[in-house]
Amino acid sequence: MSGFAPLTDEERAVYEWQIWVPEFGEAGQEKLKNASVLVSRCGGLGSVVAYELAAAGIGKLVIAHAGNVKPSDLNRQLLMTHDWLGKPRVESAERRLKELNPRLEIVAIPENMSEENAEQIVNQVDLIVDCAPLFPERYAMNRQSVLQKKPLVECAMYDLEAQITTFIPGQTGCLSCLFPHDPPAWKREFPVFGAVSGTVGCMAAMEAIKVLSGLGEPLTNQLMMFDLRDMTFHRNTIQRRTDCLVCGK
Amino acid sequence: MKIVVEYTAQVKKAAGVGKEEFEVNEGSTLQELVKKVAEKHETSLKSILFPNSDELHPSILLFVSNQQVLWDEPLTLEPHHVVTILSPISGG
Repeated sequence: MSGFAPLTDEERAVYEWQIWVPEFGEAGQEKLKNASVLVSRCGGLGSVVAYELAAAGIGKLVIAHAGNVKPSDLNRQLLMTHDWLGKPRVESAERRLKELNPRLEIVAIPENMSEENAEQIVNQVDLIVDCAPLFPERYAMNRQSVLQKKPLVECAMYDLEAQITTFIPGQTGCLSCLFPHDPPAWKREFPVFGAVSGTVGCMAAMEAIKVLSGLGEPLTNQLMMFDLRDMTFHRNTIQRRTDCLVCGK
Repeated sequence: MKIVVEYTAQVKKAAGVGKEEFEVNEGSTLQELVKKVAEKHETSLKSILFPNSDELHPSILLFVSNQQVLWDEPLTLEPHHVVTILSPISGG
C-alpha cells in the first residue's frame, strides 16, 4: 500500500473494542489498516484466518485458492456457501469478506501457490499465513518468506489436533528447518472438524495481528501443538538447522 | 526405567494409541527408544519412521520434554523424560 493512512471516525467506531486492548490502541489499529497479508488457501484454516483479519481491520488481503466450491468443503471452509456450489472459491471468499468489511482491499487469485507464482504474489504483502494442504505449496511460500524477509505464520490441522508456529526471517528458522523433506505419509484428504481448523485459524490470525502491530510475543522458535480430543496443549521449543537449504548460512 | 512416549497425528493413528510406556535400560538413548517403538509397531509405524534405512525420516520430529532433539544428536534418556514423536500435518 502506498502512503500511511490514518484511521477514519468510522474505523474508530468499528474497532473501538480492540483499540481498548492495552499496548495496541489506535497506533496498533493504524498499523493493521496499513498492512497487507497473504492467506493461502482459504479452506478450513484460511477461511477463518481471512475472516478474522478482515474483522480486525487489516487493510489488504491477498487470497489465493484454485477450484470451485464442493459439498465436502462446507463443514469447515466458512467463506464458502451452499449457494456458491460449483462456482469459484475465491469469488465466494471475496464476497463474504466484503460483506463483513467493505473497506477491505482484496486481491483474489484463483490459483494455488507454486514455485512459479509465489515470488510475485508474496511481493504484494507484508506477511504470509500459510494454510495450504500440500507441502510443495508450503515450501514455495516459505522460500519467498526467507528471500523477501517476510514473516510466515504456519498453521495446520488433522483430526482433532493442530500445530502452529511463526517464522520471522533473521530471528527464527524456517519451515524447511522444521520439515526438511516433503512428508511421505501425508495425504491430501484427512479427517477434521471445522471447529478444529477454526480454532487454529483464530490463533494464526492473532499471530498475524501481533507481528504486524508489535503486540505481545509471537510464537517464534516454538511449535504449539494441541489436541482438542482431550484438551492438551504443548508448547515445544524447535531448532533452527544451520545446514538448512533455504535459510541456512 | 519407564519412559512415556506420546504420538501425534498420523503417527498416533499408525500406533493405535495416543501414548504408551516403554521399559528401557539406564543409559539408553532417545535414538534406541525410537527404534524400539518402530519394532513394537513393525507393521504400521516402522514404514513411517524408518522408510528406507536406520535413519529416522527427516520430516518426523522428536521432542524430549518439549525440547526438539535432532536425530543426529544422541541424547541419553532420564526417568522424568516424556518423548513425543510428531508427524507433520497441513491445511485444507
